[in-house]
Amino acid sequence: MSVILQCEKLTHIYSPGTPFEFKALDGLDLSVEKGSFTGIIGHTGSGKSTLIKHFNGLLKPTSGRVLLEGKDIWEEPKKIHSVRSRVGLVFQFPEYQIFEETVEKDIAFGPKNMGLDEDGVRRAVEHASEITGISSAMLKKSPFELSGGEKRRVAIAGVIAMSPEVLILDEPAAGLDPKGKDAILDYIGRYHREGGNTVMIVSHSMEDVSRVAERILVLDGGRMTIDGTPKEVFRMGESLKKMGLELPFVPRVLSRLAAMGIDVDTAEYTSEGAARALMSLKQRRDGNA
Amino acid sequence: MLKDITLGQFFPGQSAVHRVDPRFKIVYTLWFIVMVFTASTPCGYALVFLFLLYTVLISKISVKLILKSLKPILIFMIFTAVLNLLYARGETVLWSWKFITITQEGLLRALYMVLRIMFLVAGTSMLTYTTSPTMLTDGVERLFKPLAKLRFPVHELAMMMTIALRFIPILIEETDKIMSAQRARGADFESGNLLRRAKALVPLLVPLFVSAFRRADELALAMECRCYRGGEGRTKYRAMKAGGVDLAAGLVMLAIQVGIILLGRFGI
Repeated sequence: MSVILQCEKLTHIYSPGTPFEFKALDGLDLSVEKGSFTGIIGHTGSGKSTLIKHFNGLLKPTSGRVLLEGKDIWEEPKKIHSVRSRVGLVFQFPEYQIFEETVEKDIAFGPKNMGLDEDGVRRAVEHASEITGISSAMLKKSPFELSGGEKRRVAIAGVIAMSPEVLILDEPAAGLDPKGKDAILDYIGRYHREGGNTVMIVSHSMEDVSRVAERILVLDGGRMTIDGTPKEVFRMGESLKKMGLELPFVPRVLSRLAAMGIDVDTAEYTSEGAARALMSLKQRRDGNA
Repeated sequence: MLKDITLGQFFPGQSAVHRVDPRFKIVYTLWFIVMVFTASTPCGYALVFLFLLYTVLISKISVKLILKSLKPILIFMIFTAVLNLLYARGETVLWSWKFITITQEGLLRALYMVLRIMFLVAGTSMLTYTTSPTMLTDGVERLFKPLAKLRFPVHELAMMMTIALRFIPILIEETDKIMSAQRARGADFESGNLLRRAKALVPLLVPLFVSAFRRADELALAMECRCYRGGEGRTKYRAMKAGGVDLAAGLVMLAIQVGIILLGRFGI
């Protein structure tokens, strides 16, 4: 697989030269493969949001580079718009960015800015609403009549409508009920599978990220401290705790069992995986008896 | 970008300037404005400048920051200087070309005017730099308290001011967020003619207003939940007491003021 997004020694300092000077990113190196599904985890203030704002050129690095398919995105500052349609960014609580009279018009905002013709815009809106499960009746409604979860869905559809090669979402499931959460993670997964798009999810909750991501990056103090598959990451429960992060429920139970002297694999993170681990343990015990 | 706005910004500290009672600090700031206008001689201006420099230095606010607060009025200062330079009448002509005449008096007056503006802006920004918005409105409320007898809603106005000040950074942050979100969707706020730019603001202003109303609603509800009922019979958590620092600051100002007036009398 080829690398689509890359950071080289990325450093960002906010308000340099004032008493509020703050180093949010500190020489971060990172590369993301095409078609992958990555989760970025870190507690509040670890630099997650700052990092993703660099991916589509909303922030300019204080030093270091961001490469999109091997090309520095700031090579031609005037063409930063084309980067923004290739790397789609959904912010935290994206429902607050909705402004149009109808859902349809709001989803069409991105494609229109890309300069698509009427037909292209219509197709983009159709495609995005299909992925996110927005019915044609809902398209005609005013976004301000919708529920919180539906608004979030519209806002995410507004970014998907631009068909970005890389879709990045900041806390897409925050503040939603379990059902809304499932729905959102489900159609993000659909966008990932369809057409081999690259997806990144940023969250402080490992629970959500581990359900969908193939690779997990952990940020702490503007640096990348852990990089691995969910299983590898969850074996490092202790160092995660030091960074103010909590293991998801299943690994937490398993590591408590391990601490009690029961021999289980603590890296299982799905309830199915945990069931398997416990069943194999039972079989071994029954065999010994 | 938007975060670089210094208007109404407060820089916490423990210096003597920070510790002056807000009521006194407001009065002293007004006094400082008067002081700037009483200065009329080179030495008088120098004295005002030294006093300002002294306050800045002991407050540990960086000089760079003060200069930054002057930046937005640079054009205004240049405009004032040019006008004074061209229109002031005087005897000693330094340079003249066709209808443009520059006199020594004009030059001096332009210089004084620019200095005055600089002192005023720098001095008043020192008030907001060293006083937290809550302390500031508390001070204003106490200063206007006598007006409450005339049924003037002093407390309500102070509360409104506190909330408004508190909301400035929140709304700036919100604007920043919404701008980022719309930019990520390809919105362009910087290019195009005036009409296009005005149109480009719609995706920014609609969500901003919606969220401002939502916040106002939530705040009103939260205040009512905590039984807020206005100023009558309300006591303060921080009781303001005049102390040594206030007296000392007042004496220093008095000394400078007397100095300026004396220097003005002797014309030096």
